[in-house]
Amino acid sequence: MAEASTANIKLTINGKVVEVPKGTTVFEAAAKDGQFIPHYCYHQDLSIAGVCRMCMVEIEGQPKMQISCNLPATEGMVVKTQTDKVKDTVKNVLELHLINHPLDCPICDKAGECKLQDFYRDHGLYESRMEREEKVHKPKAVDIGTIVLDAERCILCTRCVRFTEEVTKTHELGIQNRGDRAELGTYDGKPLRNDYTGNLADICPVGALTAKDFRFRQRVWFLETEDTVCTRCAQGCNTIASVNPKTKKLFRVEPRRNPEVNKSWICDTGRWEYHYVYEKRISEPVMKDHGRTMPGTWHAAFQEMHGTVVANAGRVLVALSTQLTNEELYDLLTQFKALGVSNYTWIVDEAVARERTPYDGILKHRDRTPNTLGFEKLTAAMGVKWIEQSPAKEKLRRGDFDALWLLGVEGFEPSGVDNLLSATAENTSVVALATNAGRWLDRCRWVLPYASAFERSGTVMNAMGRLQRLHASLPWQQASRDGHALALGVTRGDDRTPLEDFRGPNLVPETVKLFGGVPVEWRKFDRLGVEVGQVGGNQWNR
Amino acid sequence: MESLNHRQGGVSALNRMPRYKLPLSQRVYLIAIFKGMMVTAKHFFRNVFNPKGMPLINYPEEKRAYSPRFRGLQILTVKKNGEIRCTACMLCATACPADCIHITAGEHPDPKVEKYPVEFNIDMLRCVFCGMCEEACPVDAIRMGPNYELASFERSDFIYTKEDLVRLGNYTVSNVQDH
Repeated sequence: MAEASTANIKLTINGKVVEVPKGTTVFEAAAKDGQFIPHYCYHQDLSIAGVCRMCMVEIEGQPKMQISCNLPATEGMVVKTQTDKVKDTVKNVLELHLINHPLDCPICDKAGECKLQDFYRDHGLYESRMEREEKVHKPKAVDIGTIVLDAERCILCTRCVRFTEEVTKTHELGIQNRGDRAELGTYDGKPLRNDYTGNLADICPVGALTAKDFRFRQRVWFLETEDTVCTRCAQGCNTIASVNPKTKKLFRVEPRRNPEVNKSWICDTGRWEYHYVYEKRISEPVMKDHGRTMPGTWHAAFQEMHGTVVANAGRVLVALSTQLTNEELYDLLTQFKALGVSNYTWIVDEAVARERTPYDGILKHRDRTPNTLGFEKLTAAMGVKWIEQSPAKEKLRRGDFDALWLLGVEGFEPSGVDNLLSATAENTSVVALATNAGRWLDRCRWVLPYASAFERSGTVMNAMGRLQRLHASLPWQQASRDGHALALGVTRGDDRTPLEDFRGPNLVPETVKLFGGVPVEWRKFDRLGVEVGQVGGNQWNR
Repeated sequence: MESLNHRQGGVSALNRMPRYKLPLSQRVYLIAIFKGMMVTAKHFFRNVFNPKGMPLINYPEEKRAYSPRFRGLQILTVKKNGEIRCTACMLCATACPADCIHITAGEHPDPKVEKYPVEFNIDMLRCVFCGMCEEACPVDAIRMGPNYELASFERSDFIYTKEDLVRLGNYTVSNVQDH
């Protein structure tokens, strides 16, 4: 918008003068002013279709109503969205939408967040004029891959069709037939074949597309949400985690709109990999001695680690995962430095660690860790010398180290761990702080349960250098602890020190200062994150 | 020390309370006893000479007829084909103030039915018999039934499953039929 069209125009919406850049639609102008116009087919990150006819507004001097989503605002335009004529039109449009709607809200998974329900509450007719007995029936509960399609509930807004055309460019969905027989379906009934199918359930304003993963598992009104960031790859998509506050169980991860990072989308991997929080989770510290596995305690683990580091800090190699938040890294590095540890490396797939763009051109990165760039920048800012994996491997192979600590390993198949372990000499004792059980843990003397990304708070930096806030939505599962607790435990050598709550969030100012400060308001940073590094100076004041 | 002082203060305050002086008619309590015995005797002789007028029933053998609106143990209704009517919409669980209804929904093999309760448990130790579940139900699947004899020796016996609730409801057919 920096070109010739910068000229602003003024229009009046409901008696309020709104100034917008030329080319803005009436709908967007109203939205900018905080005035809501009901809509189904309009979506911020998709093209304009103008098919639902819900966003009708009255323009002074024009006899007919206009759809605001496709109407460019002009100088001096007088728009009214609250007149009786508008309300009557919306009511009639809604009546049309509902002619063949099955009204199976009790079974429908969308109930509670359905736009048909919402708008009927505000603009509904309430007394049906339908005399016809039978509605047009269409296929129900059709399995189209990760999504279940219910053509009867569909209001033909074509948001999903436009999504597959414009975002994934896979063109699986389409509207077939005409009139009241028009129905949504995949071409030839083939299943969806893209990596972003979960978004279809999000953008569907009604219950026509529901995600199999979440289907029937929980009513949406039982859930509470927490804004956080996806940690399944280096993109750092903004997400919403939905947790049932009674059972403290995570049920759903949804994208949160951030135009700079992920728009309104998230890939299926990030959306559905939250299951690792519950599946094959390491529940308690486990010790292995002479081939025998036995349950251990945090106290014993801390004692042993403290003993190792006090005996000879120079012979300990600390491998820090790029899953760790900046605050955990800060805590671990400062505390270990005080203990005299000087050998650090990182746990990441080095072949892809320095890729900065999504490989599929949308969101997905090959680097499956959230904080690779943050690790590099934070260690540089703290002046910590660390070595890459190949020299670290060389030293491990030579037997330079008595102990290898793998800290903050997350997920089922962590990348970069095998690389280090394969070079580890036989007599090196390995300690792993990890979330999920895997074959590689057989090699470890201590296996310590690690809090997953849904249980930690702090900041992570994505591949574009955007610093974003991670918020915990769950308590630490079973006996797991985060990096802060480990840093403290190893320093003290015991588990008797009470854990400091909110250590992660409290350290955020500290780490943000190290990154040079964030040049935006705290609240905006908290919500959307900010790119740091390009702008110098600490302008961030809490 | 502080607590001791407090207690002593309390006792002395009690001691200072003025005593209420009873009148003679109450101090001679035989009059009141006689009045009470008269009531007992009146009922005794009435029951002796008119046993059918006694306001008693022999409870386990005889039972009182309750109103159809009586709110006892919930029942779950069935469809005409004998399947459970409940669609697992969770509105009863949402409305329940005692949080005693626990439903696990699942996918029904028939796409027309789509959703049904895999598990439907009511914890009768928590239930307050308010009838909100019955009111919330959009398909007449749950009703407050006539059963009120819910005693048991085990706590686990108070968790009623959907099979129990259908059986104890005598397989009542729902007023709402579908499709």
